[in-house]
Amino acid sequence: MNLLEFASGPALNVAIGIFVVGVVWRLGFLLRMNKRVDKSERRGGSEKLGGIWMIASRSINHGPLTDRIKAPIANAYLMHLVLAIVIFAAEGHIELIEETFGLGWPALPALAVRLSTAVLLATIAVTVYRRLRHPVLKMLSNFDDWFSLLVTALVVATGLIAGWGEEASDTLVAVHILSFDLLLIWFPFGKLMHAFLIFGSRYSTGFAFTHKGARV
Amino acid sequence: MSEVLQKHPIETDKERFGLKKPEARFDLQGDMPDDERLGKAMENFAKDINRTTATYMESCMHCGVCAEACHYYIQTEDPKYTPIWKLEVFKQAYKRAASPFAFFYRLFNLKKEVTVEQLEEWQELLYDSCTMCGRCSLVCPMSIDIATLIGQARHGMFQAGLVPHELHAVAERAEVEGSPLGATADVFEDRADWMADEHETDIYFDKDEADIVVTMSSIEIMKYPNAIGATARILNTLGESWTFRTDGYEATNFGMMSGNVEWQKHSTMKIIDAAVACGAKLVILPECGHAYGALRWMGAAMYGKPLPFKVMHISEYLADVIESGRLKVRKVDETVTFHDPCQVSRRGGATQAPRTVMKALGVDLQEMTPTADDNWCCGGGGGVVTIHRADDLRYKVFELKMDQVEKTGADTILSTCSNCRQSFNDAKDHFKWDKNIDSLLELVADNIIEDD
Repeated sequence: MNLLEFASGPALNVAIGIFVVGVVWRLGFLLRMNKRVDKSERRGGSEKLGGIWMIASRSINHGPLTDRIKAPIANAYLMHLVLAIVIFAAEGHIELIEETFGLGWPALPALAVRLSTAVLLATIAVTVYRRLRHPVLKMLSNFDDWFSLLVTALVVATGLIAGWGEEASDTLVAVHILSFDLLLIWFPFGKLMHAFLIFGSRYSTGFAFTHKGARV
Repeated sequence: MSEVLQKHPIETDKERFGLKKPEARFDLQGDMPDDERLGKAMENFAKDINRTTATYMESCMHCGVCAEACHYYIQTEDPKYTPIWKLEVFKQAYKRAASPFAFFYRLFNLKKEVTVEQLEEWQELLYDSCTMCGRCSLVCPMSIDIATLIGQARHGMFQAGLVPHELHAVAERAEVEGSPLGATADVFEDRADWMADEHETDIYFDKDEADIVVTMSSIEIMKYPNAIGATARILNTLGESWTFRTDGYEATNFGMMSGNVEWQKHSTMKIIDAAVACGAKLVILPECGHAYGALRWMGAAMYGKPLPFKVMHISEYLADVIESGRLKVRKVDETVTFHDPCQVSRRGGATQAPRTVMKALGVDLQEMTPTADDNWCCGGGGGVVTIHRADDLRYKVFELKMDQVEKTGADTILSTCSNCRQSFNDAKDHFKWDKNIDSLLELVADNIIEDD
């Protein structure tokens, strides 16, 4: 078994296993907890719709923020946009998805994906810079923040290198997949879980605020 | 009174309770050992952990956006005032004791045990520098309702005897005497009699049957008694069947603000029992922000079932009777701005009601920027106005509000919260500010068109 076979075989399977069990455990743990039932008279419309609306609206409406936070928010938007492009529009990724799930779609030109990957790396660099410089972020940041950024940057950087030439070497692809394996293993334990938790957190607040007729 | 309160006597004859130079930066009640104090803090914090609050605890991404919505951070640029940081020790405790991966956190000591020293340090962040205004909840990308978590953390702090003296004292006084400011039932009746004469109207007490039970805040009874007369005039003009009840008139809830759930329940149940006793269909809450949250949104939880009557803030009631054409008011030729009480607008959902009333009054409303749900807090809510050691910080925060008001060009500020009004008046004296803060309720009462 060579490195590529190891990375995309047993290592990936173990990583996926830890990812699935970890995510299910963390979310299941929360879902098993007592749910607070608000018995006060409802003022607003459907709380469930309010919860769903909050999931969407908080991505658009940032409320009463000052101008100085607009650049970091734009950086976060850009990061997630190019992340989606890199994950779902790279030829290699689509081939993998097609092999696994039998569903494929046309890929973006390699140059566009490379450019997006470079932009993604740049947005991660900006995030790191802000965490190092901004007094609030310096104070809040802990191991979880740094490690989550590190494993994400590793996947992106190795992907950029592996996808640079016409024909990627097996070793580079293997390193890229191994870094992805690491990301999957870390995912349930740290901040990357926000990809799932965002739905529960936003929904809960949207539900409660709609009950009161407050702005969602 | 606790031992510590006797060691550091509170100046109860002052306009607001005050400890001019507290000897300790943090305050302690009782003399329990540190372990017991810590245990009580954690136990009472943990009682409130449910699916929603645990999800909030899990969800913070440490993005720091909440700081940009907090008046304490904006005015000081001190990172410790970042809203989510105010919960850091309780997040630490949650992760170690109750989170999905608590086992790992304990096994590898990834999150250290919280210490009493940390809780003492965090007292300032949980009480002096958070009005629970909920502005941070509007901007958090994960929609974490930080204000709710602060309230939960205060439950732990209270039982651990870690509450600022003055806030503890007013809460204790409210529990023992029925009012945080000495507005006992006798005092209330005396002042209501006075207001009945002043306003030439009838004021009813302790009717056996009434459609409406009206409540007041101690701040109104003691500092702004015209609210009593104004409310009575409006209700009498409308021919309502209403009453004050000496067994349930006090709407403020310092048990809630200080973090004592039992005291919170006592205060709430007095109103509920009084309303049930006379078969009320409606309880009207006064111009008080937190009183609205305490009964309108948390009352049913205290009662254990849905309330058998409706609950309205006075501004909602006024908007209702004006919109339905039952109450007619004269036009008022005045330029005003409006200060939204956080617990009524942003966190209460009644943002539009006062604007409906002001539109009927025809005032030239110059809205602040930002306004309505996004408006800045006055800095006095959440019990902060009682904490004398927090005065300098509160005044610093109020400069933001002054700037907002100045930019509107209005000389008069209207509001629908007597606690905000008190904060404005206190800051007005401090800054020798030339603006007036008035009550929307009183403006309506002064301009009623009575049918012949």
